[in-house]
Amino acid sequence: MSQRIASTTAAAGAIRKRQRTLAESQTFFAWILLIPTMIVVAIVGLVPLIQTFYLSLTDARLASITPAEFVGFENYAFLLQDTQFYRTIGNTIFFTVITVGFEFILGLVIAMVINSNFRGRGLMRAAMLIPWAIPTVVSAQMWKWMYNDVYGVINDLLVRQIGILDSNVAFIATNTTVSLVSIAAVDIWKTTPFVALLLLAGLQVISGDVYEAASVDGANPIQKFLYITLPLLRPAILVTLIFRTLDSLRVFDVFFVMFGQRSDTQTMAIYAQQNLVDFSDLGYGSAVSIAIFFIIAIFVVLYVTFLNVEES
Amino acid sequence: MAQKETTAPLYTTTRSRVQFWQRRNMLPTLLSYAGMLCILVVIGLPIYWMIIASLKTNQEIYTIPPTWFPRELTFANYPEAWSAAPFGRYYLNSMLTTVIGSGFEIFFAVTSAYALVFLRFPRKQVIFIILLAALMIPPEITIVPNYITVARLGWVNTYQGIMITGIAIAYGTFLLRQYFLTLPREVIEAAKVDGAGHLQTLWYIVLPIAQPALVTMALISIVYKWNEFLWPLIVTNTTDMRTLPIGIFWLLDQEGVTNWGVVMAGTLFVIAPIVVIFIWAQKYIVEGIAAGAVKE
Repeated sequence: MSQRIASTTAAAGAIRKRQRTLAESQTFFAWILLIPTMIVVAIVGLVPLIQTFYLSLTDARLASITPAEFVGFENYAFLLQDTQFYRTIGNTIFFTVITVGFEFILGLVIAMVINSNFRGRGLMRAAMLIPWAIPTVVSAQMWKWMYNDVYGVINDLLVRQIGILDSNVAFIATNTTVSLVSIAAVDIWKTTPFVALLLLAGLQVISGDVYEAASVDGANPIQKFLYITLPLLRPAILVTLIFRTLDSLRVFDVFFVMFGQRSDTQTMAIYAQQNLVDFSDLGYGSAVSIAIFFIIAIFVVLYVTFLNVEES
Repeated sequence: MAQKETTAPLYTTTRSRVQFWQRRNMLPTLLSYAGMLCILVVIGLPIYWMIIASLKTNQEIYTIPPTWFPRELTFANYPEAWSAAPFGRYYLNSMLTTVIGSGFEIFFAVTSAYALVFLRFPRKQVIFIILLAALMIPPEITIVPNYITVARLGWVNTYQGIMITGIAIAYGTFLLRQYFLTLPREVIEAAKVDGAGHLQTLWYIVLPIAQPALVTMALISIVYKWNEFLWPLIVTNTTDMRTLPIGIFWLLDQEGVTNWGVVMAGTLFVIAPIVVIFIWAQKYIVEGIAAGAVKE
């Protein structure tokens, strides 16, 4: 009797020990899988971020002979009163809201269309991705040429071919709002395929049987979309919105090609670059970059909170 | 709760797919075609404009009003673009760095995402937050420190210097993690009960079911590597190590304002391999076996 109890406790102990080693080996394995990625992320991302934060607390200048001095939060105090920086925040957020909004809605529509069953969808799926494959430097230059107020094809289309405009418009040359909307259109044209691709992959992971069951239960297409597609697509939606918002908030090349250093349409990233490189002001440019990092963080926290995907 | 209701029918296969399709009428199909036509026109017009520009003579490109069909077809822009820079060598460099660089990125993103979703270990949340933070870093602050790192390794002007992965690896990991979260957990648990190890589960269960997400991630990685401009420009210093986007930028810089047709011709042969990959890859995005894997 007592022997049996002893043996069961011994067995239980062995099992517990085995579970512990299993958990340990799983942790060990997880670290093996994660370590290469984490090393890369630390070296190419986190270390530069910390260095930049340190620089933002100094008055360092590019290629300067005098050593940089520690100035505390002076750069940040100046940043808070910098009207041009506020203007770049406004421009960038305006651009982000328009592009992410349109790209998400259009991308979802395209993803649903090419997810359905019809002839020629394979070709359509490949063709719709082409704008995304064109290097931004080229596509921005091409659109700049198409927007041209003298020989641009868009003016030709709207004025001569369709006739909804009376005379040629300088889309990207004068008015700030018109310029920002025009450049947003370029980004929407180029990046909607990317959004559609991410959402299409999300739709594909959803099983057809789920819809079938809903049809049997008498759900109409709108109900199916609202109560099946959208909830099951949530993880893909989160990826899409985070990727797109991050890229829009850091937008650089399309603005640089189309507007150069024009100040009324400047974005946050161009302002940071201007301070870092053109003004050689490493300290202040770093402060601007850190501020961009935190503005982006606000958006990411909002998305992760509202699209709460961690519940599972 | 809603989650539970929707995943449960995955396993009951009482109703066949045929009935489902038969019940549909023609209206959605027609709407699909109409929608597609609109999308094609909007996407296609600028591309059409690009193609015909590459076939126009230089004077015709700058005529007012612009011509919608080339009055005089010319193919001279293509050989001119090709010989303007050593594009053959650029092709080789771009292909090598894209294939190997993306290969590494995909491999590490897959293993990291698997660990984050299917393994239990302490401080998982911290790792996830670090990855998210890495995504938010403004790229302009990483270029110089990364150049210094690569210089210390002695990798300036080498293939490994060009293809060394950046923050892109955090993008890939985050993307795959989100899609892995939607996979039916029961299938993975079942594989474990059957005695499959982690590598077997990953290779035979997770990757086939997640095929659409995997192909999508691979496409994104390839397109970004192929079109990457600033990093290869900074890290290389001889013509024989440069990549296609640098060639295109050079064309743009040299001929941009005066010889647009040549630039467009050059762009077309840069994007051609990517378009071929799209045509080949798109069927793997929609030929996932999500439903089938669970039925059997």
